[in-house]
Amino acid sequence: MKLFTSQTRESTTLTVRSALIAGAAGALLLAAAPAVAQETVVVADAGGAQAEALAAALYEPFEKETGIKVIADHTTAIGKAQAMSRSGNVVWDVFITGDTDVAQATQDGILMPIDWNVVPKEGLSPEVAQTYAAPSSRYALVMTYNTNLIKDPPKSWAEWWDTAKYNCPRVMRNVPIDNLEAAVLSAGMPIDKVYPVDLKLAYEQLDKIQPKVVTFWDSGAQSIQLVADGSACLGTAWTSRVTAAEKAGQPVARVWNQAIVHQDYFTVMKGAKNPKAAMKLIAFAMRPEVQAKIASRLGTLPPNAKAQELIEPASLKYQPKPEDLSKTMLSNIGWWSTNMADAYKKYSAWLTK
Amino acid sequence: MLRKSSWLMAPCLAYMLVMYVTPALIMLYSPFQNGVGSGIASLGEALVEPSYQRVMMTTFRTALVVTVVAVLLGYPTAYYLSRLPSEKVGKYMLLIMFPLWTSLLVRTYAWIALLQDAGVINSTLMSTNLISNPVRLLYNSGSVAIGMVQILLPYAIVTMYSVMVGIKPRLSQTAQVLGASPVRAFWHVFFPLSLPGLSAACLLLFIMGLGFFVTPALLGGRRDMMVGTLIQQQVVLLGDWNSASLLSIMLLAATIILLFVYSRFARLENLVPASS
Repeated sequence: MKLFTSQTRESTTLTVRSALIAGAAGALLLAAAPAVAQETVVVADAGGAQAEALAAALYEPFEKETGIKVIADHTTAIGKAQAMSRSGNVVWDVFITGDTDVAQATQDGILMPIDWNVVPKEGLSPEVAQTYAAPSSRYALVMTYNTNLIKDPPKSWAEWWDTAKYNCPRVMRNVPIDNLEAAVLSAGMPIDKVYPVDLKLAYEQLDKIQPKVVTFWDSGAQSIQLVADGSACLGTAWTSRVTAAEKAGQPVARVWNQAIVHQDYFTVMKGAKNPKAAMKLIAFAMRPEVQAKIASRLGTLPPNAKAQELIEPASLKYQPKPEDLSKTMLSNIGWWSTNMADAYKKYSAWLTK
Repeated sequence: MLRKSSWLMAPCLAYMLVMYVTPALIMLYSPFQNGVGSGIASLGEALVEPSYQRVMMTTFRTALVVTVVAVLLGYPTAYYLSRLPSEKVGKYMLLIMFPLWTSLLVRTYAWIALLQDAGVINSTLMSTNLISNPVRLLYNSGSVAIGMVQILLPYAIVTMYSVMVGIKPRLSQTAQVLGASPVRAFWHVFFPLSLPGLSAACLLLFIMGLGFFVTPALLGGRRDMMVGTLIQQQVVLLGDWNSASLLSIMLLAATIILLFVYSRFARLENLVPASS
């Protein structure tokens, strides 16, 4: 497994088609593959809590039922997908990723259409059952707080920004996604007016909160650790990470108000070596009982309405209630896919100012 | 006979050629895919991009500070070890190399456990009433430097030791017999002879420091972003291979210039009779 990961990393350094390198990497990959000829499917997931849930609820039962071996690579990254595609040596079959990456990958033409004859569409809403993507979990970026330090959590981004009410350190992510939305919401912008993002206002708000931000997290693990250990009293994190932390008894909790909701997807790489097995895996993942297991572990929302009825009762508290959902907003992928590169440039300029 | 055996290097060279040189060249070529002109133009843009400039400055400043601190800390240790009888050096060397066998990630997280607000250092200071509120030790350039020095120190010691151990104790003794004080003998005889080791250590640490990724990302604050993190963001989050490649070119060019400057100095040094 370790060998395998290092080879895929090797292949990401290719930016133009190179028969020589692709061939060499391919030969090595063959050497690392199991000796017995067995059908396999390579899945890229996000690692951490998500990977654990997928392994237990999807990969293992799928292997047992079909005999197809699932090889998981815990680095899901659009850059890696693009590099594989360009090098002509596509190692991943299934690429599980967020809505912004799906938009980018669709634009780049590196995905294979989902075979909706194999994957059941039933129970899915049309906007998530896309040509190139089948829905995985629905999650959100939420405000978090340390439950030992904060007894009266903020009810809005405006309160999260309020340094008089909460005179303590914050943490937020080191990329513009969600931070720009949170910033304009903190100025009192109504949810339906967030897009197109008023960048001037967003950066004014970021300037205001910046002295209180102890650090800008890079990984999901950090986002929880910084709040749990008290380095910050308020933070931001992905819901699946908060659920894992709560289950582990860490002093971290979330606020659903003004959460920024995202959709994760299953996609299949164009040029994937095991496209049939990939479609089978995704079809398996659409089963209500599988989705219910994943969502029960992560506190996410399953895309299939039938799955919601099967959520373990003990896990319901990690999920948003309908009244919580009404206070959240949807991340606008259309705005992000056109503004991504500029937004990142501007944000890292601001960050290092 | 030696020349005939040079094929012994072939497997290693072939490996490096396929696994390192070729991918590196392909990667560096990517901004020039659409013509040399447009590649140079985008390189020019990258050079004047304020955020890139700031990250580059942070990278070089951090690498410099870390190099100076690690070499200052490592020099006396290397000196002491080089004066020990060789049979006694082994166990010290083992201790020095020991951290290198521990994962870099583990060591970086260990620093977080030590330095955080509720960490070992702050809670000890607070329980002894030396301070009433935790001191912010993490997420600044200081914590980045602490973490990086700890990782680079063994390299500094070993590099300097390897040169110092070749300096015969007789030379300093001779100087003292001829009337030099121990301090004078050190500065006039030992120190100049140890300079090749010192400069090699500086160069090695500085170049290694430029490429640090995990430590500054985990221990640093917002202003401590180093070029490694920026390149990772460009590739992983944006899929912008061209910008990542441009940043790599800038870093590589800086390293090559440095090596060039060093080679000038190293040659000058060889002219000094003391080093022969």
